[in-house]
Amino acid sequence: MSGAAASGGLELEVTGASKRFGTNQALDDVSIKVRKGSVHALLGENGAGKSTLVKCVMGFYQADSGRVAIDGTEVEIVNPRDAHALGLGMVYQHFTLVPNMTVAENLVLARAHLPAVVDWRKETAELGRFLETMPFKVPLDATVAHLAAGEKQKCEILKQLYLRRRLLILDEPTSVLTPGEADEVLGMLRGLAQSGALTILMITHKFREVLAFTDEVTVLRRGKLAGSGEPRKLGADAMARMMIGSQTIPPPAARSGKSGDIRLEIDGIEALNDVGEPAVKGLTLTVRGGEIVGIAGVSGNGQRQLVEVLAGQRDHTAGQIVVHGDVFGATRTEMRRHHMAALPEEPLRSAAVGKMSVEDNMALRVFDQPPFASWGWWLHRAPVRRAAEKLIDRYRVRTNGPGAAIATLSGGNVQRAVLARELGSDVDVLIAANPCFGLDFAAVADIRGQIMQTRNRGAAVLLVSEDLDEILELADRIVVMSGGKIVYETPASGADLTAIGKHMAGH
Amino acid sequence: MLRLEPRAQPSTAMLFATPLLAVALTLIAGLILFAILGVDPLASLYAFFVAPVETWYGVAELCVKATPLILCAVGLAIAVRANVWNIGAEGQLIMGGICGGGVGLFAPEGDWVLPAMFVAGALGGAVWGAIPALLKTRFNASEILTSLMLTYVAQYLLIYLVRGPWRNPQGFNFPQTKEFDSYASIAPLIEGTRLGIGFVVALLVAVGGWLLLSRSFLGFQIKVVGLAAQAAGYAGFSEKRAIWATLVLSGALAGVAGLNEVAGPIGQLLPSISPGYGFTAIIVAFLGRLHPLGCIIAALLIALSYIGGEHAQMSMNLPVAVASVFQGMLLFFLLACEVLIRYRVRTRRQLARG
Repeated sequence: MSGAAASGGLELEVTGASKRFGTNQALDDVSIKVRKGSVHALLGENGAGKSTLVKCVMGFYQADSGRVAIDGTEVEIVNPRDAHALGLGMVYQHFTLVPNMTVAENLVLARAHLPAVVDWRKETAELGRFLETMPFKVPLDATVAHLAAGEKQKCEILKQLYLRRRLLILDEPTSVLTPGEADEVLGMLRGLAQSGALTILMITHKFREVLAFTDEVTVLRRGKLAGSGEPRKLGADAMARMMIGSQTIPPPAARSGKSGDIRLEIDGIEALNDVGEPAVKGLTLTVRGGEIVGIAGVSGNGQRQLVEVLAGQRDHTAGQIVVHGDVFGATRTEMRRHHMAALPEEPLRSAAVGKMSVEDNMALRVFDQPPFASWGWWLHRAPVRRAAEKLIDRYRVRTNGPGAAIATLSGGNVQRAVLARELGSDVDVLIAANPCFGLDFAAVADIRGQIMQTRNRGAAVLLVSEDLDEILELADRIVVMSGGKIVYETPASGADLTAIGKHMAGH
Repeated sequence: MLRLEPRAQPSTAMLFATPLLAVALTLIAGLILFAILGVDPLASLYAFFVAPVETWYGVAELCVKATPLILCAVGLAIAVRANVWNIGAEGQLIMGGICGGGVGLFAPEGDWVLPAMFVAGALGGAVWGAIPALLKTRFNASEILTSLMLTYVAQYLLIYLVRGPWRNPQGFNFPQTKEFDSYASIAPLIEGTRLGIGFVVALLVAVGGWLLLSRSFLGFQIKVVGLAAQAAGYAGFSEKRAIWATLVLSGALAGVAGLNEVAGPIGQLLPSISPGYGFTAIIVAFLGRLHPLGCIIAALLIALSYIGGEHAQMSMNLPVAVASVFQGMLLFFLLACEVLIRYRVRTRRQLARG
């Protein structure tokens, strides 16, 4: 095993890796070679096996067959500790920092061996010297909770470097960053790799990043190796074909029909965040039938709380919501009467019950209605299953069957299952929050198309998204949310991007 | 060297196998324990687990002991499904005994008295369960702490009543009430045993609890709230309602258990009306996999450890604490075996080969 004193990027070679989960062949004879000091992209659709592959390398899973070699030597990695000892580190899509601790505390506590009493003065001095050797800085004594997403992601990367990891695996590292932050972080990682200090394997969906920042790319499709090469020689089209195979991606859905009467009125809504501070501060907004209103804004400006109020997950402290002219309290009966549907972000956490089956999740809203229940409380299983089978078929949800726990589905399929439930019946008002977050582009096109069709059928759609491109593609009217309020409004056609950007930044 | 490897999905087979494995490990540990105590291990195990149920009377006693455990455990299991940790079933059981027993002591004679006692017992337990529900939904106070602390309040209330205002004037100053009249007592179902209608009620409650969880809308809401509170709000299910429903229900069931004890096997109110049934029911609920029908089997097993302990004390001179040791070991091994549901044990060599 290489000692911790050694430095410089590692070479990683995986040969013939296969992994089966039940009946699902997640990886089928996949080989990948990541050269020393390179930035290597791992591309693929949801469920293509990218996460499974890196989890096998990191020792979270054991591959059924296949070999892993580091710097040409075959190694056994049976748990993450083995991987760490070899100098492999992983940065996850979501942050693993302790929010209420400072950056310095987070870095020190990540070490495998800590003395019983931590000498903070000495540690802080050492951390300071360590930071001086780094191409970017984060304030050591800042509390992580107060850092912006980009800063947090930098901390995650710093943590790995501080632990002297020599090969970093990043799982969609830019999915929580603004485009500016993403460029900064990726540029810096590329610099570290070019200096020979680090080797980087990065899971991503974004072609732009692959083309601009990576040296090599490996593409997976349905668990199999679909191709590899140099991204700039291959070009975006060839990579897209490798990813999706013969599948065709539908063009953006056409906009049709006219906007009608006001369906949803949000009048002076105020709401608190989890720690009791005001997050939504007197927000007023109306949405008409047959109209998509896009709320643009930097994450953390009250969008999450606003959506939670509308979806019934958070109480509002002032103001009122009016749907179809009636005051709306987000109860089950009101949601049903007004045909309200919602696609919240992180559907597995906030719109589905992970341990319950796909069929139970699909029935979440209609469980107590005939034909699924008699007298409002006695439930029938057979109609639930039949309805789920229909939705699974119609929305092409890839699952081991309606009885499988929904947490076993890939991210895109969870989102599709939720979409099927929400849009499978009549919809008059739709609330969607970052509906395409973390999805590959076939799924993105599919879901955006569904949202547009819902609008075309006359529904009022409120779309909250951190992805400005998504808002520009879908919205009829764009508003910018900053500091818990609407600060700017413009029709989507002929919208001034600079003005939107300025208001997003709070100017 | 042995290693734990995470399973891709929790093993269903292990879900059912772990309680059996825990029982087997407890028996093995028991053998070792008896050997260390210097008694014949096999004879002791026989005296503990087989001899008590060799007679029909013994079987009836087993059911008598299992009755309060089933009633409490079914309520607790439903509450835990909603992520509500009611630790105070013991206190709710005592309040059921006090309220139901109070009706039995002071009501005029009549056929309605015994049913009224059951209702009063259920209400007493329900109110004692409603207090933590109120504190939790209003002030976000942990029901674990409040329900546990209320147990001691109930305990001291009972001691106060039987030493003070409710003490039997003709009782030679013993801290106990007068015995219930026959119209206020539960008659044995089978002549010569103490097995009353309570056991049948407990079985029906377990079946009802199973139907509630598997087939009713309320049960579905309880499960959703327990598994994913965010998703519950999204579906328009009220978390507060689930907290109220499960605490009041589990309280009421514990209250019925308490009334069944005082109006059945005990026959009067004493300073202590339960050897910790409400606490033991927590073990029963988990041993029964939080499934109401599983609670029946688990309760019979734990009841056996109670009467086995008494029997072994009489026939083998073993300390009565052995019963508690067995219950503790059972919970310990059960929790230890839980890991097998999510992980599989493999040797390092197997892991490397894949």
